[in-house]
Amino acid sequence: MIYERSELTVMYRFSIFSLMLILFFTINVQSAYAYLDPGSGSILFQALIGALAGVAITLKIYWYKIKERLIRKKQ
Amino acid sequence: MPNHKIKSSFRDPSGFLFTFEGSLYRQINKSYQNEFDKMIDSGLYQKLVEKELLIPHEEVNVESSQPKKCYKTIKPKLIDFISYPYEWSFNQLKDAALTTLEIQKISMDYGLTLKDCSAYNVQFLNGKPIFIDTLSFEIYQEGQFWKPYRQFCQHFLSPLALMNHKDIRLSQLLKIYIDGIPLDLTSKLLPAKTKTMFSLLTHIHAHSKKQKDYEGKQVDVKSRKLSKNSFVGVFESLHSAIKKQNISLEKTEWGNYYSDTNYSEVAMNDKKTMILNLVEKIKPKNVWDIGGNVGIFSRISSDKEISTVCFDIDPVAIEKNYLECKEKNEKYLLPLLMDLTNPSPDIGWQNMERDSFLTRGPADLVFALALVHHLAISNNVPFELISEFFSRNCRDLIIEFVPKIDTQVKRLLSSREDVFLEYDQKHFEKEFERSFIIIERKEIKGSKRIIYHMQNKKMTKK
Repeated sequence: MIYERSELTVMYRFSIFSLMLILFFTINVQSAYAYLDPGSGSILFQALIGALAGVAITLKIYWYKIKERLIRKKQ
Repeated sequence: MPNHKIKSSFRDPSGFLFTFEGSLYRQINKSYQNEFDKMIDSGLYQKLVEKELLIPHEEVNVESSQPKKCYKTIKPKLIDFISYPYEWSFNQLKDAALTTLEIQKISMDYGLTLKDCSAYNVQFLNGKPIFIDTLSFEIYQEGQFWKPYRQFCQHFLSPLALMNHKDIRLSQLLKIYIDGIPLDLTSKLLPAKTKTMFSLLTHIHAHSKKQKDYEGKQVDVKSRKLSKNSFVGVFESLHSAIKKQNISLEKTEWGNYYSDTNYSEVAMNDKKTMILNLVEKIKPKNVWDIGGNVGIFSRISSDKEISTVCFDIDPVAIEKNYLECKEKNEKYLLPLLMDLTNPSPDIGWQNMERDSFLTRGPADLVFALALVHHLAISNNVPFELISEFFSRNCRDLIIEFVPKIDTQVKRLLSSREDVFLEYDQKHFEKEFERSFIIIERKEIKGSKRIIYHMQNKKMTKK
């Protein structure tokens, strides 16, 4: 099956979005110990953002490779 | 002479700013010695200064008011005019955000990272944003979180997203919230469609939700680690979020002012020549063009390498002006947003952290061109008070009087009762002569408008 470039972009965005939603609803940080200011949510949220960004970068690399192959195949 | 601590730098335990004999200095405390040495020895300082991203400084020996804490004293290069994020256009704020992220990215190559990302750490020098807080760096420790994450979102991403997706005027929220726009407020104000945008869904909406979830809770944050990849991922992701914020310029009341006016080509050229001749005669060190729109007349002084600030109430005019400055690489012109009927106040702790419009003056020379009728008729400000206002912010004044017979004044009066019985040249001169000496008056060719050069009685020539 050969995809158009625009379809690939939509699929890529959709996969990132779905992954983000799954992570957002599943990752939960445990509470314990020391008192923190209201900024603690921001600090802890970075674990999620950082992980997402890491996954996104990896996906992007693989996605470009797949895309390249599909486009080459089409040509 | 004692040195005076600058009130805006009290939060930072690493050092403080002070003035001594009219010059500005920054003390570096012993507690910041390791970080400061690492920044210099690693070559980061040199790299950032070469790229014109960080303000250059020289190390000096000046008597400290807190000698026990003092490690070193530096004298940073001076900024011509200190401006604030609520006075910047959309693209000025965006460029300041991208500058901050570029500094963060480069710092990582030298084993350092930013410890705060306040928009107030950025100023405009030679037409470009530059980081002015030499003490905002810390040594990167593997596993640490990016401390300025929340501040960056509040100071940069929140206002840019609101200006982009809601209304360009929402940058004014920064005047109320000195530490940036709270994310829960941004999340409420942004339209629902922004929840389908990955960068805003994460950095604003979900981030705000997480903040709420953990507000006041006891959380062990020290035992948690963030890998270096994730650490870099956080600000890389913000970089892409900022890049995605863009605005299209809509037509505003003054957007096409210069093509809509009754100025003929002859009148426009005559006015420009008159201003140029006066600037050459007055020889100011700096100029404020008040109500300068897209900066047509500001460029008469800035093109002569005179530091010029162009203030206007119209955010689109300021935006156009800034984009033109960028395109032409203009170094002497700074466009800023300012409502003269309610100019920037002194704000922050004890009203002393950020200076008001008037506190940052006076200027050597002020242009008030095609402005008086807007103040007197649209805003009901009597000539007496307009004169008083200018007497507080300039030494020399080039001011244009627009008579009632002018079509622009007729336009302003068309929708209201004419209660301005004293709006005439005689009363204008009488009120201005209370504070100023009229040096010269000249009618613009092909119009009934008059250009005055006045000198402030209270200020002698510097």
